[in-house]
This record gives sequence, structure tokens and C-alpha cells, in this order.
Amino acid sequence: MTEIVALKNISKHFGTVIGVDNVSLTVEQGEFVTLLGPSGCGKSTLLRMIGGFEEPTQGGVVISGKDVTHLPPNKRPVNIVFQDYALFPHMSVGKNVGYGLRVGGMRRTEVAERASDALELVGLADRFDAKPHELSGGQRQRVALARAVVRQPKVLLLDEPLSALDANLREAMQVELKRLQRKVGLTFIMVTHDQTEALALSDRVIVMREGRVMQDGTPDVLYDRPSSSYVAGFIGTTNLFQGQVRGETLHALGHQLLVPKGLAPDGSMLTFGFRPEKAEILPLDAAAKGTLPATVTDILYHGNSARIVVDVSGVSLSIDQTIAGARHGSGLPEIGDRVQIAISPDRIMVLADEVAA
Amino acid sequence: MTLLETTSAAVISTQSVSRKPRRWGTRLGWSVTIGAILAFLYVPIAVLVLFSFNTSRSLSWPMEGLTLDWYRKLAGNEQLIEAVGNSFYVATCSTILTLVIGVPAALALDRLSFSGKGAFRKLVLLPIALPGIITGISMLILFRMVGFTLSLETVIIGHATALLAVVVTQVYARLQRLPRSYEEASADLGASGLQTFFFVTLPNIRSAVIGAGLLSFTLSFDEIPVTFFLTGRDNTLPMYIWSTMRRGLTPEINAVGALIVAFSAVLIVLSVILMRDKPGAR
Repeated sequence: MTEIVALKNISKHFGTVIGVDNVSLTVEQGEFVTLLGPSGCGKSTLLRMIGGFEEPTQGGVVISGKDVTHLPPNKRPVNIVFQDYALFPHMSVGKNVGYGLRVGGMRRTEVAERASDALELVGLADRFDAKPHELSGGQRQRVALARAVVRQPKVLLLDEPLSALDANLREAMQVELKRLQRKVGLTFIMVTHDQTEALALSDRVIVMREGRVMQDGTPDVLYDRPSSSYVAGFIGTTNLFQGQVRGETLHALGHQLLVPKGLAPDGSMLTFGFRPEKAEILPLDAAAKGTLPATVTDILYHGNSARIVVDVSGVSLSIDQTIAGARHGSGLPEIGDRVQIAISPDRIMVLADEVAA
Repeated sequence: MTLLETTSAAVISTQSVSRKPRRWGTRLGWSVTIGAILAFLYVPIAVLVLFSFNTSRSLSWPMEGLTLDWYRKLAGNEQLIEAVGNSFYVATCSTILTLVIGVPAALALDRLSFSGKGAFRKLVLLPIALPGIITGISMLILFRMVGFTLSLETVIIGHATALLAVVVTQVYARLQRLPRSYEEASADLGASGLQTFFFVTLPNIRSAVIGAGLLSFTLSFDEIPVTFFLTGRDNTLPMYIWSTMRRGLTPEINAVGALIVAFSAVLIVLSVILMRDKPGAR
């Protein structure tokens, strides 16, 4: 694999405010990388520095082997899809898509041809002459994509591309986006605050907080082995608790849990966690080792599963239990029931808090 | 326009609610008020146009008869025709000059951040608040100092300074509503700064530029104080009218007035057509 984008110790200050704080990362050719974080974490600023809309205060941007740190957007081999799509309202869809080729000096007939090919790619070949305001939100989104890919950039940047769409459409567009990326084989760098979107689309997710990278990894690594309680909390739901490891026992919540050897250094107080679906609820009389006695406090029914909230020594934990279709209801405990919780030992996560990756 | 629509709307609703006598009174009151406002605005113009067709020289009612003599006389009045020509020349040049300076100034105000921007903005807008006499005298003094000969060109410069505020305010207001992402997208797609301005920015602020241009043209066309101080031997139309008025009101002046009214009406219609913001239209 070849490296297509490299950010080298990049920082961006806005007056006294630090937008991006010493970030280094590389993106490989053909990868779908997502910058994930809450608003104000610096992810958009980072994207805008790759696009050329902001100049870094420190550090450099290299795209396909060339230092572009001080080049304006029109001199960079990248294209961006804006959050509001930024389709030119006075031009037809076809003119919008062909704009980048036209200003590059391509002949009118060839521009029209390439523009309709690009529209074909996103399934909008029949809307060539429509004006942007005549299109639906999803169609506008696709025109913006076509306009960005028509110049065959080295990297496609997407700034919250799906946030302007309603929930149903968003899911359909996720599929579309992934399909398009596979088809054109382009490198995608997306910015989002939506963790489901990030997990569903990306080859790699970079979680950011306050201008810094918290963790950089594949979606399953982020989900199964988050490095901090921040990442664990941002991606999916996590039950967090404090504890101390001694050999193969974890002393936590006033009880003892079984853990694999060498999970964490002996004796030090650490934060541990597990995902709601990695634990099981057993009746109180079931014979089991290393379980936690608990009281059921809430049950949230989700159709194919239920989230059962239990209390263990004053700490509230969530556990997801799948519901056996035939015996509806019978598999679930009731509020107030005394139960025991069995957590799969190899699913317990150790979270190094406040330490950046 | 809106006033007319309001009246007709009021008339229609008068009919539709006529079964309720109490509200009928209120409706009638409104119609009368609106009629009075319209009369206040337009009766003088109607009188002017009407008397331009009067056979008699005296401005007394009833009119004696209708004639086109005064218009015929106008056509033969070389001084007047020259004045009209001068006015067109001055208004056109000062409008173009104002747009050429004003649009980039508005862009700078909106897009760039530089120290003293707030002060710059206020200073650009100040001339509109200054009485024309002050602009006229101060520019006269300046031109004398520099040694310029007074001419229509000095008038153009004088008008342009006063009109700059009009263009900058209007274009700036429109730019503020234009999403910055349009220009960013254009740059991202490889366009140079000039390409972005002509292909993306200008088409989207077009109606504001045309509106400001037409307003500048009209203001320059009938401007007297600044012109009075800055013109040489040439006269513009308002100056000519004003100077002939010393010999009394003549139907000939009415005829000029009527022609100006007609011309203004054409300008208004033109501006309405040009400024219609059809979303997406080129």
C-alpha cells in the first residue's frame, strides 16, 4: 500500500484557542478513513487543512509525496464534499458537475460527456438539466459527490456528508457512499460526529478530542479494545467501573471476577469496562463462578433484544439480552428480581484514562 | 407596487365582508387612508404629466385643450438636448465608476479581515450622510488645489464618492447572505480567484449589483448640489431645468418632467425584471 496523505505534527491555533494540537497521521491509497469526535474537537479543521482552506500554524501536509502545506485549494489534488453541498444555485446539475473540468480549460463537449458519466455513476444521469433547487436532499448529496469525483482527485474529503439528511435517507446514503468508494477506488477522508456512521463506513477511525488524536484504529479494534474510557463512551455503550487485579481475579464492585492472566498490572487501581452484549444474566440459583449478584432496576424492550439495567453494589450496569422469538417474554427477568451477572472474562477491557494513543 | 396591491386587496375584502356593517366602516376608513397616501405621492406627478399636454401656458384648471406642441418645442431645444446628453454621460460614467470601485470594496469588507476594517466600513458609508453641499464644496476646494479644470468629469468623480456608499452597502448585505462554501467549492474544483468571482460570486450577487447600479444612476441623474459646485460650463438636465425656472414655470418643463417620469418608469420595470431572483436562473 502506498501512503497518499501524511500530516506531520500539524497544529492550528485560532488566536489563543488551539483547534488542532500536534496531530500526525497517514492515510493509505484507497482507504476510507473517518475523523470522529464531538463538535469542536478539531476534526473539521483538520479536514480543511488537508483541503487547503486553513493553513496550519505548525507542521506540514503531504499529499501523494508532495508538500502542499502552503498551496491554495485550487492547486491541490483533493476535492471536498461540503456539509451544505455548496452546489451553485445558478447552474444546472450538469454545469455544476462539469464546473471543475470547465475551469480547467477542457473542451465544452468533453466536459458535458464526463459530467454525464459522473452523474451516471451516482444514478442521476436523467437530471443533467435540472437546477439544484429542484432536487431532493439525497439527490443534491449525490450531485455534490459526482462534482467532487469527476476531476479524479487523489483524495476525496467529506465534511459531515450525511448530517443534512433525515434518518432513513442517511442509512441508504451510507450504503451508496460505500458502494461508490469501492467502485471508484478513491481514498476517502470523512468527518463525522456520528459513531454508527463511522463504524459502518470506515476502514479506519480516528477518534479526536480537544484537537488531539485519542485513538486510531479499525472499527473493531475501537469497539473491542478502546484505549480510554472517552473512546469507549463515544463508541457504543460501555459499562465502566473501578477495580484492582490480583493474579486471575479482578476485585471490583465489592466482588471478585475472573480475568485472564496479565490483563493489567497487579495491585493498581484502574478503570475497567465491558460492552452490554458481552455479559449474561443468570438466575440467582444457577451455579457459576466469578459472577456478580445484582438487582434488576429497569428493562428497555428493543424488539429483538432488551437492555436490562441492573444495580451491583450501587453501580448501575446495562446488559443486552437477545430475546428468543418463540418464548417471548419468558427469557427476561422482571424488575426487582435478584439475578447474577456473568461477564465473559476475555471481554473485560482495561482503559488507560487520559493517555493519548 | 405593494401599496397598490394592498388597496386592491382592501377593496376585495370590503366586498366580501360587506354583510357585516360594523367592520365595513373600518374597511372604508382604511381604503380612504390608503387612497390619501397614494394621492399625496402621485397627484403632483399626474398634474405635471397632464399639464405638459396643455395648450395654454398658464397653469390654471380647467385645461384649455390638448397639444403635443411642447414636446415638439423640446425636440428643437438644443441646450436642453445637450443637457440631457450630459446627464446621461455623467450618470452612466459615475455608475460604472462606483460599481468598479464599490463591488471590490464590498468583497474586501466581507471576505478579508484586516485591522481597521470597522473604521474603513464606517468611513466608506459616511459620504451618504454628508450633505451634498459639503461634498461639493470640499471637492471643489480639493480640485482647485490640485489644479483640475472643472468639467463633467469632475462631476463624475464627485458623484462617485457620494454613491459609493449605496453600492457598498447593498452589495455587502448580499455577500453576507452568500454562503462562503460556494467560493470554497469553486476554489476546491480548481478555479482561480478571478474565475471564482466571475463564474460563482458575481452571478449570485448579480441582482444586488444591478439594483445598486440603477439606484446610483437615478441618484446621479437628478443630483444638483454636488453638480452645482463641480461642473464647468456644461449643464446637466436638473441644472438646466433649475436655471430656466428662474424665468418661470413653462409647459416645456412639464414636458421634460413627463419624459423623465416615463424614463424612470422604464428603469423601474427593467430593474424589477432584472432583479427577479429566479432560483438557479443564469
